[in-house]
Amino acid sequence: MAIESKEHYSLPARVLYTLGMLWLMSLPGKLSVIFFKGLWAFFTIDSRRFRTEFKQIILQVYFTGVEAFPLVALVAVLLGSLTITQAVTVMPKVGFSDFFGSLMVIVIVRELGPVLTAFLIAGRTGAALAAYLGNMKVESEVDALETMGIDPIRYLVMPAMIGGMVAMLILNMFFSSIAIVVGYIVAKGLISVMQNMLDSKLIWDHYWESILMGLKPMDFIMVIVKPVIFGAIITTNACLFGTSVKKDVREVPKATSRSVVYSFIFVVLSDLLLSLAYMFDYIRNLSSVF
Amino acid sequence: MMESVAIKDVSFSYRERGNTVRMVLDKANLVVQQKDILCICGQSGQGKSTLLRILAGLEHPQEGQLFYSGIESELHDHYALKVALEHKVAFVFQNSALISNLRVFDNIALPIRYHQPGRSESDIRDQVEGLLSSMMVAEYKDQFPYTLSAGALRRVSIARALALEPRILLMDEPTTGLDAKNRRSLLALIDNQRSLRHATIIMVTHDLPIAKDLDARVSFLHKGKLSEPIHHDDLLLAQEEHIRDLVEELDRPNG
Repeated sequence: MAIESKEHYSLPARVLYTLGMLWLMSLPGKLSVIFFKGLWAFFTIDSRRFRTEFKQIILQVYFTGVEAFPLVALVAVLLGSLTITQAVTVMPKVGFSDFFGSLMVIVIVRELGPVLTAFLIAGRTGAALAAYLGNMKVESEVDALETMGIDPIRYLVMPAMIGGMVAMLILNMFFSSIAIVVGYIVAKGLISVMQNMLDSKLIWDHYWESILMGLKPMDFIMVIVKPVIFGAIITTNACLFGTSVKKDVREVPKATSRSVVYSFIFVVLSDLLLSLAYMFDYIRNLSSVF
Repeated sequence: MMESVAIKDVSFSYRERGNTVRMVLDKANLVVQQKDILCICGQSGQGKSTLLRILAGLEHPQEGQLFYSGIESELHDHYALKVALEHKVAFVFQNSALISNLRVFDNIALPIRYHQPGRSESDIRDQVEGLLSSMMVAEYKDQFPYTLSAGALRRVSIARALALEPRILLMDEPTTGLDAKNRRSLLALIDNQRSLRHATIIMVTHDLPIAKDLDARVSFLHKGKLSEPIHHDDLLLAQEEHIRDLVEELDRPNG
């Protein structure tokens, strides 16, 4: 029926229809559909059900943000220490001892902080969410929600997405702050221990000033935009792969690993695209100078 | 008597591995009146549960029409949501399908909290506790589903299905895993739903004596064809040989 009626349309319309269908069948297309459904569900929350749905979002923030905090904090401490240790060792040799703070901004705030937080959340929360939804599908729990008149997009996908984005935003800020502060403490400790071997001085005021100097207006935008986008990518992937499980329990681990792997790929890809914003910003500043 | 559920010329098939098409329903017709109890019987793998899922809107037939209270229902996405909300259809799954991260109490309270947001918690608590008591599972209210036995899970899932006082109750193998006492209490509850709430009940079962206990009609699904509903007293008079064979088989003590 649909094919017959399609023949009444012009050639460009049919080409557009075919391209649209191909897009919807592709992975980015499916991710877009589930993402916008979740977003639509958030913006159309029934005020009478606000308490029930808001509770689901808070639970997701708790699971993604609060429960993952020790893990994220540990990695932030390690990364901060690692970065500043390398910096303390190498930078004085080339005369850049005063730029530890700027290096921390570039490495931690701009790049590795958001990406590593995203990797941790993809491996922990994204995997758990995909497995949870996959099991719900296998056990007919998603069908049960529908037969109770509860939209799974509203009850499961939307809270996971919004909660994931909010939690990522908070965790990213914690990650950068912990890495910068603990990085300073570790570097200070290193310098005091190896005073004779290292030709560096690290004073908090200089370090902090260097950090503030290193921060660009674009950093303040990206500190919000990046984690929100990464959070959306991770939770959307988990929801898509989790709910794509049919009735076979063997599909659950496959869905879980796919969710994590695709989250990694899309996070790095979107990070690359977002980094172009810095490049454009740099070029714009150059052109304003000349 | 008013028509409650009807299907007209409904066909449903799916592709199996190897790309062969498996016809589950072939132009099936069925009319169930309000307050009726209909048992759907048939050998395993004939598609009885699929028929229930079609009635619940969880599966979309390739052709045919579905009517609830005489009104034709459109087939589209979120069809199950519409069926549940507009036609007050509830479903009891064979595997219970309770939400695993919610306690028994919250599982039953979930649809009430969701669809009746204005109700007070004490009011919801009274209703949920009443449902749990009627199903004799009140002592499990603070437990998670994974801690319950198969029989208790079944009774909790029935309590959940009754939470929104459905007009049509679809049950997939409701008596499987229940002992004689629990089976009797479940049948009493089903009868109660029919007589007090005027609910229509359609159940898939291998437990043929249930039809006699509930004074129900029985329809048989065989090779995609759904037979006309027959009163339980007339089962052995059925013209179709496969029905008589199945009745004899299910009536045997170990059947």
